[in-house]
Amino acid sequence: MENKQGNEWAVLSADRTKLLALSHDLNALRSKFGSEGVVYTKLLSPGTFFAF
Amino acid sequence: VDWKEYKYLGEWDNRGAVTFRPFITIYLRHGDVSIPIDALVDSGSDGMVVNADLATALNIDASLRRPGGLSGSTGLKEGFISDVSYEVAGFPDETISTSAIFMEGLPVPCLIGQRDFFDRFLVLFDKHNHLLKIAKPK
Repeated sequence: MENKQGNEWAVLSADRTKLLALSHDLNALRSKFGSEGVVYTKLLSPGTFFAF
Repeated sequence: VDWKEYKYLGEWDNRGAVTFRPFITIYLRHGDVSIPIDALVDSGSDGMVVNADLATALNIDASLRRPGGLSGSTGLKEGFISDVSYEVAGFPDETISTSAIFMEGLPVPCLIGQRDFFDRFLVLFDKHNHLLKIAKPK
């Protein structure tokens, strides 16, 4: 999974050990992942494929 | 003082470079909606600035949006203001209510700055170890 264009919304596990999904559509991510055990962020660097 | 530690968020890109930034998890709230997001701790920001995508996610409709903008070292940008509250992970007993500036295209979910955050917490940036330390003043 790679943040090719940069600045997509990302869903991480709450302990930030897993990058679960990327999308430009925050509401779509929230519909799928909810608010438990996750944290929503935006990856700043184009090309990021892992966050920790 | 009881310091709580938070790891900087590291981004590892496809060129092998790693960038660490001082993000912490906050629970951003409006009404019954609560969203766990990363907030960039920004000592250069006067107050809270939120990516406008989150206004929709928080169900903040147009009637609750007041005109407002943000001026900084790079100029003035229009946005809107709305009232929200948030809780910093690790400090469940403290709900912070504030007026946030929502901006389209903000490259991070949220900035937390001098008003509300630095007013309430001791903040230590340990860049050498990629740790952010936060405590309540005695």
